[in-house]
Amino acid sequence: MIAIAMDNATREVFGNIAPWMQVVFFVMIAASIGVLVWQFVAHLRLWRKGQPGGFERDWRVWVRRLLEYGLAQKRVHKKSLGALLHLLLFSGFLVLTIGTTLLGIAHDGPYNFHHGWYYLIYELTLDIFGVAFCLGCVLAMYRRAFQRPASLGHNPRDWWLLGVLLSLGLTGFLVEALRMHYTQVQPEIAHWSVVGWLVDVTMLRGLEVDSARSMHLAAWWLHAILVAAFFATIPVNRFLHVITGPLNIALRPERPMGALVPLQMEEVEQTGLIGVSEIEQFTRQQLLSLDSCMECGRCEDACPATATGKPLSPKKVVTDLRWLMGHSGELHGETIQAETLWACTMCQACVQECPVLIGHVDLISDMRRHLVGEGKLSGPPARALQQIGNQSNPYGRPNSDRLAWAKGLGVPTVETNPHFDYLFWVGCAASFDPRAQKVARATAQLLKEGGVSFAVLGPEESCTGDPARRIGDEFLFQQRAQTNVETLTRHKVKKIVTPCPHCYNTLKNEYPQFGGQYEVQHHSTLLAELVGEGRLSTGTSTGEPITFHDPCYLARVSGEVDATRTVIGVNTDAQFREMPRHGKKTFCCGAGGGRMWFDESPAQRVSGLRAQEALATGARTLATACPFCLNMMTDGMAGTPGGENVKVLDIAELLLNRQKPS
Amino acid sequence: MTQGQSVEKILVPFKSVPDPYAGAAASTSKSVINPFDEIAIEEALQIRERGEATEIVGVTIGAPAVDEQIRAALAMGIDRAVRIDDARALDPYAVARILRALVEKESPQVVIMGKQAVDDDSNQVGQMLAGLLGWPQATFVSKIEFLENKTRARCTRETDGGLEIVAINLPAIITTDLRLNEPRYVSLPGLMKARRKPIETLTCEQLGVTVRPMTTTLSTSSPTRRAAGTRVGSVEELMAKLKQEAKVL
Repeated sequence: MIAIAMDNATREVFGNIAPWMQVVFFVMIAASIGVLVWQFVAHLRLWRKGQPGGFERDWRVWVRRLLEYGLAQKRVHKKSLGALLHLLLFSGFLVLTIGTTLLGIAHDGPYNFHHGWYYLIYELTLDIFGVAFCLGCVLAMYRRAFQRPASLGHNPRDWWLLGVLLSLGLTGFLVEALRMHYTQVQPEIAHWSVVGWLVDVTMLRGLEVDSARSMHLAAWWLHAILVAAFFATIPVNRFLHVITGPLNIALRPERPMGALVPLQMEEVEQTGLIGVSEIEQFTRQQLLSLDSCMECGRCEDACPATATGKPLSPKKVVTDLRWLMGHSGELHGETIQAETLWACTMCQACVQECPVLIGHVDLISDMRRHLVGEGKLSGPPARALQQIGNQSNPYGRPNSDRLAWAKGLGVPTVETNPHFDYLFWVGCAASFDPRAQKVARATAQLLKEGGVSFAVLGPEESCTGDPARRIGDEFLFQQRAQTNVETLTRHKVKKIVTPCPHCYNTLKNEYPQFGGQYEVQHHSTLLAELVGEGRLSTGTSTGEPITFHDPCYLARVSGEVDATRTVIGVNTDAQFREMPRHGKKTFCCGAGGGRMWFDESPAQRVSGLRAQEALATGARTLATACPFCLNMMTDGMAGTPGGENVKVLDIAELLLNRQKPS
Repeated sequence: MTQGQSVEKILVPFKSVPDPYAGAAASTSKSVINPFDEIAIEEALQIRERGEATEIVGVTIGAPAVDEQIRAALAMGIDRAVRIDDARALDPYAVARILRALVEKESPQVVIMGKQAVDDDSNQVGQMLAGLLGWPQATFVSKIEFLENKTRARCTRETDGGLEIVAINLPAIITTDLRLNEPRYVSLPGLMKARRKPIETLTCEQLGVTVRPMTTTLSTSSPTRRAAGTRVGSVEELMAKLKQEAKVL
């Protein structure tokens, strides 16, 4: 008996709605979708004002990213209320949308399968996800009303959206309950529409069938009008990201995180334009990316410039540019201030956080290029670039002094050891900065001790051009890149090892743009290999607490977080303590993006914040693996109470100290 | 002097010098614009950007090789440049006389130039030029403001005793101190764009100036290297050494 009932289980779709009302309904929905499409086309037109191209063309990349960042929401997950409520809203909305589409296909399609077990499971599923959806709305309202995270931003339209969404969910359940009430569904079928049934048996008990029918009509219309209002207002509220987010996720060009976009000299000569001075000079994809922002504020929460009170919020850069896309005004000076652009350390934390893959650093880099081209850079960073041009290093030291650090070590050069395995790319910092020179010494000694065949370029080495590219002088960078690629080719270099994560990123991720293909290793990975092979020993723990600061361009940009810890001997050192922000989620030291050469007031030093974080672990040694981090963290510790007792060391120095005296 | 809202023309003489950052490797290093002159160029640009001047003309003396520094000045933003084709190492007085001829030809309302060049540290040309022209001068200036419809300028001078503020009638000579501004950076595309700007070449004969050297350089030598210091173990040891070895106590 029950089985038969189940087989026949189905429901009416427009049972209570007169044909003329159905016509009105469809016209209304069509009109609201029309408004949505019309508005969306207006956005499309804005994007089309940008430079053609810039889109990822490989559909396999689209599919992979849509699965990873769209469906699996990889960037959204974290332990926070915001992430939880988004999961509820996302899954609820997705299932309800699929459900409604299926209803159309199942009920009105050529073959009606909207009955039986399919129907029952359908009802149950939609009810469960409907609850998830409503719960998500309530949690979002709670977060907005009581937690009020500043980086999220608050606008009356957000309440409109949440109100409409919650009302949609609640009226949906009410319509279901009233329908079941007046159609007097058999209980064993009604149980599957669990929420509707619960509403029916608790709140609608004793209601007349005819009253239920009238109330159903009213509730149904309310629900329908809400649907129409929802569609029509999508383009003016945060919900737009449901459309633009996946578009940007799929279409953002695939490029290593640490590689900036090369400019073509011929193009610049032709157009006379360098970088972005007006909003239309961004690519179409970049303009689309501005519209994909839903203002969640994750970028701002991760930004070291925001955290130290500098006039930069990556989110505000995006929303300000988005505003400019639809309005008239100057980009530079009016919409975006030069101080905002210079404040960026290009640590990529915002880029890593963004759930819809917006490229904040690319936007900032494009605008910086314009500033530099227009002569808007002066002071110490300008001198650093001048020195890269004149002396091939930002320190302005004669390049003939490149081997000053190696005095007395008998370091092999490309002349004395032309058949080397590894080219030891020292980098300008470790060549000229007195503190970082010790890192070069330690690394060379360890390579020798580990029996590695290596050589240095000496005066033939020159700046990779990293600071030039990040500050915004693309062609000074390209000059350096071309010169270096020629030098490396001349010496038949295949493998490179360097103690500088910035050289590492540029050599590995950016030189292929200029025909330089090498097997590039950061010294941490080579040293970890030597430790693994037993050629070097991590020795015994000093017994003192130690922590490690992950350099952005090593951990976040290049994904290398294990080798450094192997060299420190984390597994055997019970005294090792991680900072709260570590690994790929590390926090910048403040030197990236050319910031090394900018003046900074003590209160705004990123290194100070980071030093406090390191001190809080109780560590007496702060290890790092980047000459710039070393410099900044030494300063940061010196300026932080209690920091004077903390040793700041490169992992190579640490490892050298632990080798048994031979 | 025109009674306009802006100074019509600023003349900026500049010198090409070996890169002062290059240190020991100076013989192999590139030339750059004398840093004080670069500050003068920057100041002229900022005055023009404020709408207080209409044209900036740069002038330098040298062989065609100095065109590289002229391009850099043009790339910074000066409107046009004149090169006086003379490869000789000239005395400050000769330079001042050549510049006087050019000032008479161009009739600028203000001449802004570095207080000295970092290669010979003479610190004379600005003052001599003012003397030859009979113009007022403000030297070692760290701030420039124009007054009264651009007929006068108020200049803040960096002196040993502190700051001195002087008002001078235009036309005048202003020489720049280090603290006046921070010159802008010139990028490669900026240099390329500057290729289209005109460089006029003149000779001393065309200017009607005959110059001959008044001084002769006998020799030059590098400063002696400082001997390495020693590290003392204690305050007592330091006191003893100061008394017995250095004999300063």
